[in-house]
Formats: sequence, C-alpha cells, structure tokens
Amino acid sequence: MQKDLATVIPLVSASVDGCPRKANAETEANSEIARLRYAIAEVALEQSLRLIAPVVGRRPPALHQWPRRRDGSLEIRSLKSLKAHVAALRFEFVLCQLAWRERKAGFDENEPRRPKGEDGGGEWTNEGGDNGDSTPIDVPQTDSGPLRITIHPPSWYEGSTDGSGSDSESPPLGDPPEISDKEPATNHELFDFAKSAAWWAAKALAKEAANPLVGTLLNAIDAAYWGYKAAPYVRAYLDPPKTLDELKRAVSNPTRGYDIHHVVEKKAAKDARYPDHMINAPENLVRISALKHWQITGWYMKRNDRYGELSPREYLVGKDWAERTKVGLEALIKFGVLKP
Amino acid sequence: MTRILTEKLSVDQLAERFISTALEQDKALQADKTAKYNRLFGDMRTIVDELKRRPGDQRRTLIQFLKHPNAQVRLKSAIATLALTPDASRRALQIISDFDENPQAPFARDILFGLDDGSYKPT
Repeated sequence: MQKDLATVIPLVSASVDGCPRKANAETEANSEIARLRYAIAEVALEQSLRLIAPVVGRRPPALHQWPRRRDGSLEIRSLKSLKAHVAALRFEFVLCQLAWRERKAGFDENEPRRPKGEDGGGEWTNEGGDNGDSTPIDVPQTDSGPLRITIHPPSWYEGSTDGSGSDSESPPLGDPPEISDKEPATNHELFDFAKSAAWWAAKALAKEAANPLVGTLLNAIDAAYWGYKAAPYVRAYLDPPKTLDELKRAVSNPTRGYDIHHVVEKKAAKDARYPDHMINAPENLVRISALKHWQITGWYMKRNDRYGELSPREYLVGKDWAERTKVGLEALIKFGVLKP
Repeated sequence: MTRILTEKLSVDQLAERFISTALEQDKALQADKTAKYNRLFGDMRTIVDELKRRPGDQRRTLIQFLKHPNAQVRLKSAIATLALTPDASRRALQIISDFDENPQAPFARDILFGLDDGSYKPT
C-alpha cells in the first residue's frame, strides 16, 4: 500500500496531511463539530440577550466561552469566523473520510487493469497494487506515515469546452488562485484574491455554463476561515447581466459585495460642473458588483483604441450628458452587468 | 520608447518588443497600474507604427500572435492587424470576449462595439 493516496476531485490543489488515523477519529471529528455548533448557539444567544438588554433593563449574562482546544490554539473572534471554522472543519473531515475509504479499499491508481475486450476487461489485475477485491481491509500497522490527500484537476480541465480537446480556439483556463490557509494580510491582498477568483470563475463559466469547477472553487473559499470576507465579492461578480430597471431597483438594497455605481461617472461629471441632483439622481444610480465597479473606474482612466487612444474619461471632456450616459451604459454592457 | 530607437530595430526585433510590451501591459492591467499601462500603451503604438511604416506593412508579422496563449498579446495583435486580416483579427477579439478573458474582455468588446457601430475604423 502506498502512503500517498491520490484522490481525484476537481480543483482543490491543497494537500491535507495528518488526518486523524485512529478508529474513533470520525467520532472525534463529529464531537468537534458538535462542540463548535454549541459554541455558535451560545454566541448567538448572547447576541440576542444583548439586543433585548435595554428593554428588560438588565445587562446580559456572559454566556459564551470562546471554544479553544486544551492547548488554547483556537482563536475565534466573531460569529462569522466561528461558522467559517465549522465549514473548514467539515470540509477537512470529508476529505479525511474519502482518504480512509480509499485506504481501506486498497486503492492504487498505478495498479494495471485488464485490457479492454478481454474477459474481465477494465478490472484490476491485482498486480502492483495490494488489494483487488472489494473486501475492506484494515490499515496495516506498518503503514504509519501521514495520510495525504492529493487532489488533481481532471484531465478535461484545460483547453476544451467538451473534454474532447478538439476545440482549438478555446483559450486555456489555467489554475484557480491558491486559497491560502493564512488570511490575506491587507484588504488589498484580499481583494486581489477575490478579483483573481472571480476572473477565473467567469472564464470557467464562459467555457462551460454551470461549470461544476466554479461551485468547487466557491465551496473551497467558503471553507477557508477567512473566506467569508471574499466570497460575497466573488459571487456578486458572477451575477448574470440584468436589466437597467433591475440594477436601479437594487440600489435600495445595499449588500456586501456590491457598490452603488454612477452611470455617468461621478468624478468626471463633478469636474464638468454638473449639479449634484443630476449626478446622484435615481436614474443615474445602479447597484453592481463592487469588483466590476472598481474595474470600470480603472477602465475610464486607461488609454483605449476605441476612443482615439484617449482614456474614456479624457474622451468625455466637454461632452454632453447624453454622450456620457451612452458611454456609461455601454461600459455596463461591456463589463457584463447590463443586458445588451 | 522613442521613434529613433524603433527605427534601428529589425522587424523580428520589433515583433519581440511587441510581445514583451504586451506582456508588461498584461501585468499592469492585472495589478490595475493605470499610469504604467498608459505609458506602455504609447510604447505599443510606437512599435506598431514602425511596423506599419516598413515596406510591405510589416504589421503582418503580428498575425502569428492571434493565437498566442496570452490574451493581451492576442488583443493587441488583433487590433493592430484588423486592417490587414479583418476576419481573423475580429475572430480573435470575439474569442477574448466570448470566453470572458479578463482583464482583456471589456477592451476587446470596446473594439467590437466600435466596429459594429462604425465608430472604430481600422487603418
């Protein structure tokens, strides 16, 4: 039995070492999840009591105790991070389950199979691997190395929309951004990650509608303990184009991951001395993905072949409101926010 | 990049400069470094103008880059060759748009919109 077990799950490129190997490890993991769920309930209860404290005229009791291991290593500072921790634990637990099952089944990806067309074609030959039958076996005691799960992208991952490899025009998808086990140190790094993830996911969806790899990426982001900070931005980026009316109506519902965007660019309009009541009028405001909002702002400042090699902002100097609106709406279409 | 410098370069060297400048542009776009991108935009213009000025309009040497792995190289070579190979160049822009290759896709759509409404005329 080899120590490194290859598990084919799309996308997740991290390896998980040191999964618990004891027979009761599954129970232990379940206990850990139950403990964290209990802690979440405590925190939620304390928050509720805090809300009603002014009404009942009493300070809330200190109910919760932050969940920590005996060595005190677990630091949880908010309900959201606690929930994210549970999600990460579940994700790790599923990976560990997968590895145990493959180890028990004696899976060896290098074990040869009988040739196609022969009697028993496709079945394991029981050569080069250690267990061809389906009877579960115990993990040998001598196999004491850490359990490792290596996750490979599927073979159809690159260069084709249908897996045949025949679509030569389809550009390669490339690798998704790495989801680090360390939280990005700055907001700039966090949004860089969100942008890379969103761009990768958008391209994956363009290659294949409802691409399952995108769901896997989003789940993996959710599983990172800091992922809740980036996930709304990535999801908002993947919104399909909407009508102008829908985008305008959403302004009254500010949501994390979205920004309020001015169709006629605010700064340029102010510089051109357009009055505030025009700039901030409801018909000039739409709610769009924050990442796309920032991308559009950058686009306005970059030189562009379409606009006589000027930036759109330079091109619009001296132009009337109607031309600014036309360019602003076109930008929303070009960035996939507004239905054409 | 000055005109004087590009005049001394061979067509092959200009093509190499074209690629390296496009790759630098890609990095500047990815990192949203607008000032750097705008400077490189001017450098690219100088290179393409010099290729166009060479006997036989040597922008045709950029046609080979329409299937380059890097989207920015494809974008800039498509724009530079639209007057020479309109169908193939437009197809390259369409692929960038259809496959939502960011950050280039909106810039490809800029040109496609301009071609469709007649506001952008390749020369």
